[in-house]
Amino acid sequence: MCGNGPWDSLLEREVTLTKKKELTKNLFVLSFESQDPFPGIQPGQFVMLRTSLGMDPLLGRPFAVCGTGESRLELLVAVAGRGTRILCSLPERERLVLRGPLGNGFPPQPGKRVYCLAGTTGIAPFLLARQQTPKIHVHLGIPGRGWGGLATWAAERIPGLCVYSEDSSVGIGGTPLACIDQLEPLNDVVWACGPTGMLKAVQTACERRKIPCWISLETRMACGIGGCHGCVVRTVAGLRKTCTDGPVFDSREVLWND
Amino acid sequence: MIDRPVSSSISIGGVLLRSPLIIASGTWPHEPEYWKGPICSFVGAACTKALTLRPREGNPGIRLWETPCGLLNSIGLQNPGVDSFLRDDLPKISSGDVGIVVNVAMESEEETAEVLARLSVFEDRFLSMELNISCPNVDAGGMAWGSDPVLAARAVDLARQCWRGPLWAKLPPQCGNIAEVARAVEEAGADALVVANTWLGMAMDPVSEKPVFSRNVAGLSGPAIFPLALRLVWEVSSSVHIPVIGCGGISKTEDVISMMLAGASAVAIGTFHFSDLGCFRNIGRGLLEHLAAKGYSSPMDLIGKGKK
Repeated sequence: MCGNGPWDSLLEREVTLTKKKELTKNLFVLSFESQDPFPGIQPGQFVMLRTSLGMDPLLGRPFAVCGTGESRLELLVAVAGRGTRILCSLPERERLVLRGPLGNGFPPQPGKRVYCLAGTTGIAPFLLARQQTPKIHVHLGIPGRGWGGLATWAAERIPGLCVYSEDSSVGIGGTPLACIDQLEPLNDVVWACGPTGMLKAVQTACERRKIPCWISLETRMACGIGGCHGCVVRTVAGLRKTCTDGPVFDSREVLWND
Repeated sequence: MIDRPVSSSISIGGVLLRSPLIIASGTWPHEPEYWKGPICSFVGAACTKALTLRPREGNPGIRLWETPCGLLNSIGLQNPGVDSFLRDDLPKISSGDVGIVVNVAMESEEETAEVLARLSVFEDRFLSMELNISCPNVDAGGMAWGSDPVLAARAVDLARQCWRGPLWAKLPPQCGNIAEVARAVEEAGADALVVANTWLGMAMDPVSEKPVFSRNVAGLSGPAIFPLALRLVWEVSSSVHIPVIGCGGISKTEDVISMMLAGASAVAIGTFHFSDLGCFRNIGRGLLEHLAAKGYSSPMDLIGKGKK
């Protein structure tokens, strides 16, 4: 969009796909360039991405930002359905429409040690966090060797990355949850992003050990700006919108939808 | 041909809008930054979420399901209730420069009367009140108020007694004979008709082998339903004397022109802006260019022209 004011010209813009890198089967890093600089983006904030052609798929898809420069932005996109398959099949130099950054990211934790626990593509916000705060500790869990391309790529960007695999084929056998037992409630904080099952397990483990924990939720959403009410999650404070009240929540607040 | 200035303004039964593009109910955030500024420069009015007397949590489970060129939703009228809206939301959205159409979900007669009584205190803050009669009438076995001419007229008659300002009735698309419902609603005192609402649809999950939505059915919207909505606008506008606002699947300038040629005085856009926030400006500019190219001075010159 070429808006007349700063607000809408920053909210939705045309971007060019400048680079597409396949990390492993059906998992891509997409790099975009915008004419205008992006505002500061917090780790955990997301964008809605859609093609500029046609109406099918109709809606943008939400992705956490995994890297940013002045007018550059990177997303980690796994093929999960028809919409993401189309996005990942676009050639370089294709123009797309991007809405965002949206939502609230992980809150800064001055004076605390931050442990980031990621399940596969849940590594995305922590790549950005590491870009901004080198001191954080990042632990990545993957099912096994099939995701090795993600682990190798992430390790290049995050020196000291701890990788866990469920089948023990890559890194340490097990899951990133193992590190929670070593944390100190007064000094350490957990940030987590990944599949819902993993987030529930992190929530439970952190609650047991009284470790402050923030989790980034992933839900279906249509608009990303609080209009559709399609992305609500049940919390101790009632229903909250993942897009504008989250996607990052204090894990003690989240009651899930089931 | 002499060039004449083209105005985008229109009048809906005396309610003056700066553009025929209205933001449909249930789709727009109640946050102040969305009710002013360039994003709204071609927006004639915006409808609020549907309000009920008490807060409503809406439906559990999956609420959205994308379809080819469309979207199924099962939000379930989630809203904070009329009191919370008046206390928390109205001051925020009133700070902008977009006219507010307050949408009221028709519940029981007592509840609806109470909602309208509370809103009436702030009547001057609203351009109009839009009564959503697609909701089920619990006292009549859950049948939608707008599905039957007698029930629909009863709903609008009640609202007319409780609300002195402009009253728009939003009809469901699926009813026995929409022209009969429209005429009954006109006679009961509606000032305009919004034609129509989402179409009942369904999605099945092949993995769980169950319906996707907890209530089984859901409302279909988006460009996929545009031809269906256009046909309803043609039919209804031929049957009543009050203005008709076309609603359903509008995504481009040609859709607005088509709706107005079929008899609409304005249009409501909902689902498409989920995808494209620039659609109001792009559609609005395209409309003005079309009017200028045709030598018209106002979008009102298009209304019903396709029938002549």
